[in-house]
Amino acid sequence: MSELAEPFDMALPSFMKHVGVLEGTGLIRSKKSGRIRTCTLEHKNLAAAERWFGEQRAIWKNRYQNLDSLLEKLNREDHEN
Amino acid sequence: MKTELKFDFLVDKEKNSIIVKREFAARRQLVWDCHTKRELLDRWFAPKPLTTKTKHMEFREGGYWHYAMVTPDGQAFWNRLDYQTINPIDGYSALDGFCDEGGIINPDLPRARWDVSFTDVLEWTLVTTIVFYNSPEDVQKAIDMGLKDGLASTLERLDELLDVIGAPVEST
Repeated sequence: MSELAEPFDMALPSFMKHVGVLEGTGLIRSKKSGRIRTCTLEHKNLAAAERWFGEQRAIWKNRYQNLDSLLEKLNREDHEN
Repeated sequence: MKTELKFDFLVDKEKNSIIVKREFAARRQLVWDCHTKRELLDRWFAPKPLTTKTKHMEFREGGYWHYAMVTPDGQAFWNRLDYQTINPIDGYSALDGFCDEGGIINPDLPRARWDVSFTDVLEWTLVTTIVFYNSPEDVQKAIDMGLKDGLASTLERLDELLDVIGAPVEST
């Protein structure tokens, strides 16, 4: 764990907290053996999370494009009346 | 003349939230109406090729919007948005949720809080939506649900969306 924390400008307890959050999301797994805790990246979960965020982005982007068209239509109708 | 409209999609992992910011070329009252009136919501809310169908809408604090996003072959994804606070035309907050056709919320799935705010940008409008989950575990449940429910696979048939899914999750 301390090896992993080394490149980060952060105290170890803070770093552990971040690792805890990642572990809670299932993005990483950690295992303690003796005094050493080792972290493993959960590639499958990480890929699923990335994909889901990408999909959420796509949903919002697409829905807002619909709203652009609707607003344009409503603005036009407004001008005509 | 087509002007570029601001679109930001950010993930704040520490706060278990998604932040969506988007500008619209319309005045605030009209953008607000489109978010709060059923007959207008039905015309834009579901991403293509899905359509929106409202079953119930009562836009007041304590009221809710019960709607489906329907695929071209008729499959419906039911959702419910429970309004908590409303400040016309500045913003509202609500609790989303997966439900059935009868409006019964699925208690096994997480509910996220939406904080939606509307601000003037010259004669245009900026809409900021923050979707908060209670915990990293809730985000994970939403991800698992997303993989199962098939909504995304409907969207993925669109080339346009495929491009977007390949894009990094950051501002454009």
